[in-house]
Amino acid sequence: MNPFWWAMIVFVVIGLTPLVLATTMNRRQR
Amino acid sequence: MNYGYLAVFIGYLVVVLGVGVWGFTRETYDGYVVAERNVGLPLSVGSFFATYISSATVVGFVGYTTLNGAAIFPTYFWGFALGWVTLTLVAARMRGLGLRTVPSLFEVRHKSPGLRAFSAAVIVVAFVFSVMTQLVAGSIVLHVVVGIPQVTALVLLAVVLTIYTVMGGLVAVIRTDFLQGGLILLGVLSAFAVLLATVGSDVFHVEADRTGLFQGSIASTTDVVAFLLIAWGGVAAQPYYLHRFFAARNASTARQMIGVGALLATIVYLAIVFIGMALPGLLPADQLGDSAIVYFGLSQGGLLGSLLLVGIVCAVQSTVDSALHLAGVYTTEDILVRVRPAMTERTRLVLARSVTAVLGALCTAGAVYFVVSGGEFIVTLLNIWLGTLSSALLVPLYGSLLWRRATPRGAASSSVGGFLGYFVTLAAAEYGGVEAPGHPIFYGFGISLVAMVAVSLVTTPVSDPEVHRRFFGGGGGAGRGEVASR
Repeated sequence: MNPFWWAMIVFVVIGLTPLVLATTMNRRQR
Repeated sequence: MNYGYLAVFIGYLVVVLGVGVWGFTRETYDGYVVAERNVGLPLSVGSFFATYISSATVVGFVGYTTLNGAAIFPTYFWGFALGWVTLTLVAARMRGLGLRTVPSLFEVRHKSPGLRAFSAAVIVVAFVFSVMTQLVAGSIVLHVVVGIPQVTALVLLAVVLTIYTVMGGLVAVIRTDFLQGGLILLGVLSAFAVLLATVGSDVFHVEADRTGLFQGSIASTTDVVAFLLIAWGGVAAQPYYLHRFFAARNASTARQMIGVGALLATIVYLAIVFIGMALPGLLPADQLGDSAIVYFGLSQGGLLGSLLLVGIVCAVQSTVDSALHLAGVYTTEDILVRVRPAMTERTRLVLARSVTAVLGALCTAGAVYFVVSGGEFIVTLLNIWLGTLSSALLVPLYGSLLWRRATPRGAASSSVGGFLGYFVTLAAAEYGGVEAPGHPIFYGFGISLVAMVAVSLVTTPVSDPEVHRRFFGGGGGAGRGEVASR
């Protein structure tokens, strides 16, 4: 696999982190 | 002139003007400034997303990818995504402070009206530049696609968004953002769909010479760190995202606004990367770069052309209206009202509207001047602007928000020192021919960080139990957010 795909996977993982974080934190708050 | 595109453009302008008029009929000062702190999730997400996606995203990042391939990730996207994570983590805390402006955090936390006014001035100046660059970028697109003179396009764009912002304040800005966000998503995704239909699964085939991360602005690992810092700080300290926390209905909405907004932005960025990777195979070499997406829309014509045109116009206006709105509000609330704190809300509303209108006129005039005199500055100014926020605002803001030991002098020296560190290094390189080793951001951010920690440790923090309770809790219990939001 070339660097392009690695770079994209890294980006997607960080990019989706806020959704996971926000959902988890909101659930815990309730 | 293309009358079809002109009709689409005019139709769009009429709709957003209508939203401004609607907002005008229901406006209070709290509505103008923070949309009554009652914005629900769908509008919050739409507003964050639309403000987030600027013309730099749609036009600039496609262009950058057509030229530099995979380097777009370390240059911009990784840092931006880290900025979203940071915003998610501080969303509830920021909202709980119940502030009206980002700079007012410094007065509430450190009892420092001076630092409040200084940071407001830095933000307003940065926004004025950003408004001008965005207007110029949007007018180029309109000129090429619709065929109207560039100055006419610029004035149309600017006058309409100034009118609805002045009339409706944040209430109107958030609603136009929602509409604009939908149209941006539609424009970018249909461009991707058309591309997919044109070249099939080849769209996912990346040429070997475009897969390297060290291209374009990135020549070394040091550059990766510098650009990560600029992009991360530029998002995490961006006042118009932080300001939207104040307008959110509750803490969960503030967090999820970034969560869902980041998901949409990730999707748009992926579409942009694949468009940017595929276009060199479809367009002649001289059409790559900033104009690539425009030429692609023109080559397809018809519906895709209209959708892309409207999407780009929306990307410009949704970012510019937010910047203009905050420039007007922060000038009023953080600088002018400090001179006469007894001013009534009614007078403040009139003042905020007038200041917004004057700044709108000023930016339009400045942008027209740049067009007429023919300057090339869009990407340079974007970098300068993002860098300013990473140098002068990021550390003092987050330090004051999260660190109990932060002091007024620490925050002030961090803000002023960071600002000078970045600008002196940049100006010396740009105009004096003196290249300091590394990137100017290292001096801005570095001085800002060192000053914050060192000066805070040798000076005393504000010892007001109320301040500590508001920022770091301690009173505990369920009603905490309610008390703080008053």
